[in-house]
Order: sequence, then C-alpha cells, then structure tokens
Amino acid sequence: MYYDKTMKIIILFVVAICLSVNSFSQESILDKQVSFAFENITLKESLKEIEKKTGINTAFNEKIVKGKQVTLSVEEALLSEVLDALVQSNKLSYEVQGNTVIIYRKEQEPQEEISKPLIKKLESYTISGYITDAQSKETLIGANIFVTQTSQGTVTNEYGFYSITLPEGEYQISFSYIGYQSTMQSISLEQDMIYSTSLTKGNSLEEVIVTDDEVSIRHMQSKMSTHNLSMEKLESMPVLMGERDVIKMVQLLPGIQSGSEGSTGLYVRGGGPDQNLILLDGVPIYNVNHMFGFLSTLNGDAIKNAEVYKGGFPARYGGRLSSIIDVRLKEGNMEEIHGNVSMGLISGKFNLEGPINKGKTSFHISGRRTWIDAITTPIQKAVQSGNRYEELNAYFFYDLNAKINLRFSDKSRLYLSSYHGNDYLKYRYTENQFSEKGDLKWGNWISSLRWNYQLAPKLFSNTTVYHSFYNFSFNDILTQGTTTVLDYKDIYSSNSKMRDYGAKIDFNFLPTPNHHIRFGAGATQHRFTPTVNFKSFEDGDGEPIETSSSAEPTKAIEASAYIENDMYLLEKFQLNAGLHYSQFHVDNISYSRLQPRLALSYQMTDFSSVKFSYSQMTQFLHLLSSPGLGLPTDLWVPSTANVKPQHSIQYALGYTHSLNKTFEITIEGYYKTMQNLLEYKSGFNIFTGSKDWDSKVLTGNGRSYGAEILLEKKKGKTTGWIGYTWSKTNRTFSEISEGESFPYKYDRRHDVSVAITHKKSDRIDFGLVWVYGTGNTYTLGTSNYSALGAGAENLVADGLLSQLLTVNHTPNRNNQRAPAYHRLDLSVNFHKQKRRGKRTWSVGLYNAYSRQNPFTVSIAQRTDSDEIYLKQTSLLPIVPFVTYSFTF
Amino acid sequence: MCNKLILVLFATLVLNSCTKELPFPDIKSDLQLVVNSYLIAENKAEIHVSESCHVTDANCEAKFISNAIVQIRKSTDSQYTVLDHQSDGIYTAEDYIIDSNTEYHVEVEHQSRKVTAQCQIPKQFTATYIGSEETVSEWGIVWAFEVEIEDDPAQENFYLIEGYIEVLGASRSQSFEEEVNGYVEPRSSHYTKDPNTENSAIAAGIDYIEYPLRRIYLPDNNFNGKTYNTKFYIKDNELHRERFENYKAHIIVKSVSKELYDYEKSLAKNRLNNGDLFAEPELIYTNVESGLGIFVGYTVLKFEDDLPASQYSLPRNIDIENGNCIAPCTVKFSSDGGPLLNYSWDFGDGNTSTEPNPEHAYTASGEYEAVLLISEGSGDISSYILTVTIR
Repeated sequence: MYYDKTMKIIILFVVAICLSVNSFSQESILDKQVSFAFENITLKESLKEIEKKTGINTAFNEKIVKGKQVTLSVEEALLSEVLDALVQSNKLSYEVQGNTVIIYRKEQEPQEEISKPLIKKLESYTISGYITDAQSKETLIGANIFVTQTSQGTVTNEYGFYSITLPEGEYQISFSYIGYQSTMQSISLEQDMIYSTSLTKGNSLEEVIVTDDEVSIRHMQSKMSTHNLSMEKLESMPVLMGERDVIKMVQLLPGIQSGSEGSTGLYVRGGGPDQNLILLDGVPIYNVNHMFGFLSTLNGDAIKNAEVYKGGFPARYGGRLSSIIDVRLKEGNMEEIHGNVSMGLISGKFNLEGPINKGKTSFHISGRRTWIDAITTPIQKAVQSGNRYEELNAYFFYDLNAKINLRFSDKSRLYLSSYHGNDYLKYRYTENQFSEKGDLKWGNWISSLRWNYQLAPKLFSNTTVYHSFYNFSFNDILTQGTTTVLDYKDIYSSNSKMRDYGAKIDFNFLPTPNHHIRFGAGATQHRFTPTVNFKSFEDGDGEPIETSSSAEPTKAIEASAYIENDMYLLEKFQLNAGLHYSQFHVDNISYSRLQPRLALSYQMTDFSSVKFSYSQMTQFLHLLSSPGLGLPTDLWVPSTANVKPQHSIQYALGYTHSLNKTFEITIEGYYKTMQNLLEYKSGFNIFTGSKDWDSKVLTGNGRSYGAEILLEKKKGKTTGWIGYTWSKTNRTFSEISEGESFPYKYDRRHDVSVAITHKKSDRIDFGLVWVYGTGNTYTLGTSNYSALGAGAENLVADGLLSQLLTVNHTPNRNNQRAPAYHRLDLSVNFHKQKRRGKRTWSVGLYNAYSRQNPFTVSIAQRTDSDEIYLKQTSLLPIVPFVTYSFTF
Repeated sequence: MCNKLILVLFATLVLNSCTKELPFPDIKSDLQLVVNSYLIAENKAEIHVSESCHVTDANCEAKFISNAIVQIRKSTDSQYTVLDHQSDGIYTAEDYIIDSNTEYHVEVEHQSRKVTAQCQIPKQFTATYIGSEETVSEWGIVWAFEVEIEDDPAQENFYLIEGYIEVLGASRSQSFEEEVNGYVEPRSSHYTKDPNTENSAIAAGIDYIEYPLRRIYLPDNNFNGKTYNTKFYIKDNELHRERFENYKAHIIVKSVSKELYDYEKSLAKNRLNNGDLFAEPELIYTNVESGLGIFVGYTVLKFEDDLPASQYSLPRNIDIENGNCIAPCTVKFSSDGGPLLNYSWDFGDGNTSTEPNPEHAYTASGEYEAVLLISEGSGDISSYILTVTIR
C-alpha cells in the first residue's frame, strides 16, 4: 500500500520536473575581455594571475605545467585568445567546465581515436581504491574523485573506498577532500586497476583548497538534509567545557534542538529524543549520556567523521524516525605512533594510535575518566565532620574506545572496534543506627567486527557482526540497627538491561559512473530485561521476611533489507531511490513495513542546486524517558500488541548555493507527520517504574513543519556557520485535551545557532557559540476553582458546602511558554610547539553572560506567607573551564 | 526512595542552581462559571454555583455566585424548575426531590454567561455487608471489611465504596481518626487492582495499594461479571498509642453515574500528582458545557458496624484496689487494656509480675512506685507509673 502511493508520487514528481526543465544558457567565460602583460613568468603564475583577474578557476596537474615559461602581452583580448596563446606555446590543451578551465597535455594524435573501431571504444574498465590521509593513512570518508574529461565524479564511501568505471582512455582524475591539497593524476585506463592515493593536509593557515570540482560534486549529489562533520570540521569547532563533543555540535545545526539545558537529547525536526539512531562504526548505541546528559559518550578524540541525516534518508538506514548520526571512529595511524593527553577541571583523557605492523595493522585507543569524585568526597567529609549525620555522594564516569584495523591486501580489510563506558553514582547516608547506601550505574558496551572485501572491481562488500549492551542498575540498602543487633534491613535493586546481537552485510555496486547501487540485509536480536528485586531482613543471618522479584526478559527480532540506487538521470538530475524493508517479531506479534525513500536533485548551475526528498521511516523501539532530562532511567522498550511501531513520512525541499567557494547557503523546508508516538498518561511519573509500561502510555500522532537556513563559511581564517530554523510542532492524542492538538514540549518557533572559530595564528585560535531558542512549552494551571471533593474529611459531614475544595484548573497541555533560551560560550586555545609535540591550553566560559535559562517553571509557595508565585529554576550560570593537552 | 534518587542526582550534578520569579500570565477573560452538584436519590436537589479565579487568588472559596438563575428539569419534563439561592452559592428547592433512574438537565445563567449540563441518576441497587475482622501488625490495627454488590452485567454500572472509622471514645469523639489509611488487597480472582490507583503500587514492588482517599472504584480489571465481592482494609497506625476506645465503622456504597466515576478518578489522580515536576498534571473531568465543575448524581446504601472492643487497645484506666493499706497487705492492680497486650509490672519493692491484673503483697510500709510496662505487637512500649502508699 505504501509502495503504490509512493510510486505515484515519484512518477508525478518526475513528470512535473521534466516538464518544467528549462535550458539554462550560460555565457561562456571565454568571451570575457581581458588585458595581460606576462614577461617570462612561469605558466603556473600566469594562470594564477588569470584566476585573480577574471574570477575563473583553473585546474591542472602540477607535473604538466612544471618548468614552462610564458611571455605574453595583450590588450582587451578575449580570454579564449589568451588561453589559446598560453597553451599552444606549451603543447597543452584546455577545456572549459562551468567556471573552470582545465589544462591538460595535448593529445598527440587526436585523429587516431576516431579511426579506432567503434567496438573498442565501448570497452570500459574500472578504477578503484582507497583514499587516505598522507600522514596517518587514515581513510578519508566522502573524498571526491572527479574525471575532468567526462565531468563525472564519485565520492569515497564510509570506508574510504571508491570505484569508477570509464571507457578505455587517458584521463585526468582529480582527488580532493576538504581541508586537503587536491591532486590531479593522469591515468591511462587500459584495464581494471586499483589506484589508492593519499592526500596531504593543507597548511592550516593557508587558504584551505576547495576546488570547483568539489563544489560541483556537492551540487550534483542528491543528498539533502544532511550535514557532514569531518575530522577537519570537528577540529575547527569551538570546544564546549573543554570537551569536543560531537553531539553538542550536532545540536548547533539548524533543525536540531537540544531540549533542555545541557542535555544531550536531540530533537530533530519535531521528533522525540528516542527517534535518533546513533551508529558507532555501524553499531547502534542506545544511551549517549554521561553526567546525566551534560556530556555525550562519544569521545571527540576518537571520532573521524560524523554524518548527520535529518531527512532524505538513504534506504540503507532505518529503524528511527527523525535522524541518523553515522559516526565513524578513527582507525589509527598506520605509519607512526601518535597520541594526546589532556586534563581538564573535571576529567582527564588520553588518546593513542599507531601501527602494530607498519602499513598493515594499526590501533587506536582512547579513554576518559572524570575525577570530580576525588575532589568532592574529601570536601563532603570535611564539611560534615562533627555532624550528627553523614551524607556522601560521589559520581564518576569513564569510557574507553579501542579499535584495531588490519589490512590483508588491497582488497580486504578487517576492523575490530569496541566501546566500553560506565557512569557511577554512589551515595551513603548515616545517622545513628540508621544508614542508607546505594549506587546507580549505567553504561554501554559495544563491540563490532567488520570485514571489507572487494569482490570485484565494481563490487565492494562489508560484513558486520556486532554486540551492543546497555545496562542500568540501581541498588539501595536501608539498615537500622548495629552490627550486632539488626532491627531491619531492606535491599532494593532494579536492573534494566538491553542486549543486541546483530549481523549485517552491505554491498556497494558501481556499474557505471552514473549508478551507485547499494543493497544489503541485516538482522538483530534484541533482549530486554527489566528486573526489580526486593528483600527485607529482620536479622543479619536470617532468611528474608519478604521478597519480591520480577525478571521477564523479552526477546525481539528485527530484520531489514534494502536496495538503493544513486543515479544520474539526465545530465543535471541525480536521483537516489530506494526501498527499505523491515520486520519486527515480539511475543507472537509481527510487524513489517516497506519504506520507500526518494531524493532528487537538480543541478541548476555548477554552484547551485535544488533538491527534493521523500522518506518514510519506521521505528520498532520506544524510549520511556523522563521528560527533558537525560537520565539513565530512560528505558528502551519494544513495540507490543498495544503499542504499535512508530512511523513517519517526511517531505523536504531545499536549495543550495555556493558563493565564491567560501560561503555556502542552504535553505530547506520540511513537512513531517509521525504516527504512534508515545506520551505518558497524565499523572504518570517515570520514577514510578517500568513494569506494565504499555498500560501507562498513550499513543498519538505528531506533525512538524519548518524552514531552515544555514549559512556556512568553509574556508579562511574564520570558519563556521549561522543556522536559523523556523518550525512548528504539535502532537495529537485522543486522550489528551479531548483529542485537540497541543504544542510539543520542544515546539520552538525560532532557533538560532552561531558557531564560529577564528584562527589568529598557529598559536592562538578563538571559538564562539551562541544559541537562541524560543522557550519550551510547559503545562500550567492558570486558574483555580471550587470542585466537589473526595477528601476523607468530608465523608462524615453532610451537605454540599462541606465537600468543596479548591482545585487547580489546567486548560490544556503545554499551554504556556517559558522564557527564551540563549547562551554564549567562548573559548580560546593557546598552542605551542614543543620539542616532543604540541601543547595546548584551552580556556573558556560556558554561558559567558550568565543568562538564567529556564530549566523548569512551576508554581511555588513563599516560605513566609500563603502567597504563591511562578518559579523558574535554572541550572548552570557562568562556568569557566581550563584544559591542558599535549599532542605528540 | 524515588524522591531521594532525584535529590541525589541533582545535588551531585548542579553546581549552582538558581531560581527566579516569573510574572503570572494574565487570564482575566478566561475565568469560567463553575457548577457543582452531587444529586442524591431521595434527597433534595442542591447545586453550587461559583466562578473560577486566578491561580494567585487566595480567596477562591469565596467566589460563589448568589445572583445566578439556576433551573433544573427531568428529561421527561418540558418545564424547568427554578432553584432559589439559599446561602453561599447553594441553590435549592425544599420540595424538589431527586428520583433514581432519571435523567436531569440543568441550566445556569449569570450575567452574559450560560452553562448547561445533564446527568443520569442510577437506579436502586442491592448490596450486602458481610462483616469485619480485626488483626494486628507492627503497623497497627487493621480491620478488614467485606461487601458484596449484586450487579447487572447487562448494564455498565459504576460503584464507589467509601469507609471510615468513627471513634466513639472520649478523647477523639468529635470526628473520626485522620490517620486512618485504607488500602485494598487482591482477593481471589474477583479483584486485582483498582484502575484508579494503578500508578502508585508498582514502584514499591509490592502488591497492596496505598489508598489515599479510602475509596474503591468499581468496575476493576478483573470483574467476574456478576457480583463484586470486595474486601478492603482500614488500618490505624496510631491506635496502640491511644486510650481504650469504641469504634464504629461506616461503609457507604454508592451506585454512581459514569460522569461521577470519571470525575472522581481524574480528581484522585490530579491530587496524587499535584506539584510533581516530572509528571504532566491530570486534567479534571467536567461535564458542564462551556464551564467547569460537575453535575452528577448517585444512589446510596449505608452500613454501620459497631466494632467489638479491640484486643490490643491500651488501657484507659488503671486501678489500684486496697491501696493505702497497713503493711503487710495485698494490693490489687487492674487495667482495662486489651487482653492480647504484654504486661510487665514492677511493684517498686523488687518484685515483678507479667499478669494483666496482678495482686501483690507489700511487707513494709513506705511509698512505692509501681511501674507498668505494656509492649505491643509493634515492639513499642508504653509505661505507666502509679504511686502506692503503704502505711
């Protein structure tokens, strides 16, 4: 049913686009009038001069222009004449593409080609390989490969692999990646070949080279509603509280909100915090919170690349409604050992990478540990010494990322990666013979084994087996009595475990440069184990007088298969069409959904494009969470007979324009509907437990629409972006507000984020983040009235009057709006090159102008009178931070 | 435990939390007409009319309206009967008696506002009070009451059972015990849990349900389709500290309209979670069109049970017989405490006894301090000091 409807939409859309195609005539850049006077300068210099004066771009292989001198003087000549003169004297030739002049070696006998038999011309060969960083041999994700002769290009996949099939011949192929110096390679393609190359990082102070090809390729791609956070970009982002936190950066993108203060929750295009799939090397991670959401579990030092999708989802992804964050971890330097140690006010971390077997095997390991507990515990002890009671609270977290990468051959690679992290909170309270102690512990453990294998020149495969484990436990022991005489002892423990075992296989098939076909399948077994144990003792050695426990693991199987084709339709159209099919089995219930995906782009000019996407997403898992807080009590639960899978349909339309290679502006609009969303029943509190959860939730629908503008500056000393989002999000539940729509808690009309870094010199750089958002909604009973009460005191007395009591009247859910949220964060990094490496001092301020941002708004009563008032509670005022790090 | 958890989380996390006052939203135009009534079958009609007030207004109880036009009619009547303002916003007519199994309509007009509502008074029903049973635990005395309601499964009926203990003794004669807590316990397959209080018990991990309002709403999830046989409990944590008293149980069974059932449920939930930052407030049900309040009714059956004297009550009086005698002589001690308590006497001359009402012979003259220690099931000990003068 979904499929039929979608096909209709696709056909209608394609027809509409075809009918409205205009030919965009372009004035040739060669007709420009120019004046030049070159005297014995190198060809390279002359071309740079032309670039400067005319605004065109030139592309050439350094090798072919080397050592060539020119002398030329013209007045008001056509650019074509100038170029003709330049190339002819040097036995070169050129070609124009958009705003770019490509210089190449003159073909010796062009006539010969024509005389070749036709059948021979059609013979095609494939060139494939990996693109890596020249220094570390770390593979580059999303690097561009552009064939100048055919104007065709491709990008490396998530493993740095590319493949392009071309007719036999001589080609100039450029390899480029943002922040790196691009290279141009002459390749004579006579057979299938493997060509892996390395790119060198651009000097940070020089202008980062962005080639036109790169810009052009970006406009050619159908990908939309997507943001790439490359290593380069991550490194140039401002640090927040001394941590380079990728989730916090994602929150600064338009269309993505952070919920409440400090939280790592993501609210993407009106979706909930449970609708984001965060993949760590392809493996889903279920809880990304450290420190109750103030930090994410993703250690910035270990991350190579993060791709954020908020719409236009490719068919290879599935399982969540609102976003996919595909995080790829560093593989480790293949050449030499490097590392980094840093210490901040609350935590310390290290990062070490290097070869095990040079060029073949490498490792990467990074870890963090907070030491707040080491500081706070003695303070608490000192402050409370001599008190009648003693109360101690301690908190810490640690995490560890480790990865090993083996290169068996040019065609085969193996990756073993693992993440392990835990948060601990311990508390103890003692007073006389009474004591209460307990701990709270939560963490993830993820391992994956991936094997890349190039089955054929055009066919790349990746097989993944993984394990993802999330555990939350809470223990509390109450004791009354002494060690010899125990009055009573109650032991309460609750545990919520979620374990996934999964396997998947993905294929990339690139038959021609115009088609990139991906297909694959996977299956995951989920096991959910919520456990509650309670034991009560009357004496130390005795049997418990009261016990209760519950542990009923639920098993579910989620399976999916997909196929997508990223293809060039007509010359300027690219279409990514795909289908994602998923199935879910739990307790004899089975759900299956076919989800069509479509993304279409039309390249208006080399520098601008219009894009459209349509996607359907299904989600079988739900998150029971405490609203607004990133608490570990958040619990993942499967769909059941009562709670059906969540489903969404999203349309997005966008326009991207690159202004003189430095700036890029993207404008997007989206419309999204969501079904079977969860809300707690009124009055339900997450802290009252997870048993029978599906009778405590309501399901309903949601709708969100909005517009996003992103202005990005990609090169220069100052880089960064300004994002603005206008959006409207509401929810409709038949049992809330009598089925009337009400605004979502995080319905945010205006959202602005500014993230800027300025590199003053190699020694100093500055970072600035400013965010502004319309206040969150909340529910407030604005009036009181007399109601007939069921107060027990009224049972005895007769008459209506005695039963009247004053109640608070709440007209509608989320009927009020808290004050706006805004915050400025500043940071400065001081770098210094030492003999053995580079040291960096980072200092900064979180919430620099100490804005009291609303965390909760509630009615409160004054201590000295009956008068009530509206109280806003804020969390973090201005917080300074300092971090020292040393990189070698 | 859960509140403790939240506190600890925040204490650890929040380096410095700050609060500030925000202005209240102005809602003058949103103030609504409120109509309240519990129409009781075979009683006269009483309707209370008031106006809602701003949340900061402390005098909300005083916002009754005395000059409204209040009219009531049965659905079968074509004419309304006007109710007169009696006092404090209550409108009534002495001769307007509510019939069971009848639908009523009300119309209230005040200034430019007019609200309407309607409700069905349930028909008469049959219920039997089976009896009570007393037990003691460390938490105090618990009475169990059993009630059976004959229901017609063909119809969707709703019941409400309320109970309270009236203290007839002197020290608390004016009202019933406020500390009484009621709770219901699953009983056979007829009863699992009350839909109204399903939220509260789960966290505790135990089966019984704390019952804040001492009310039981039926039907529940495990209705056998024919009769409700409900056992419910009222416990008194404070009882063992009190003097000997007589108690009377009042059990009230109401057959209520669907609106009342929904209203009471929403009200109970609203009050249970009032002020909880982490829960959305429950909206209070209303069936008054374009206004607030509730226009509902019920038929009622009341039962009374004079509870036998408690076996665990502490003594109200302690008597000394033949005190002030000339040594050597025998003094008789007695108390009216419950027979199941543990007594421990210290006569002040080195002799002791564990008899509830012992006799003791003093051999020498003098002033003796006799001490009675009574230990209860809970382990609590009460002590009484008596002075005996032997001449």
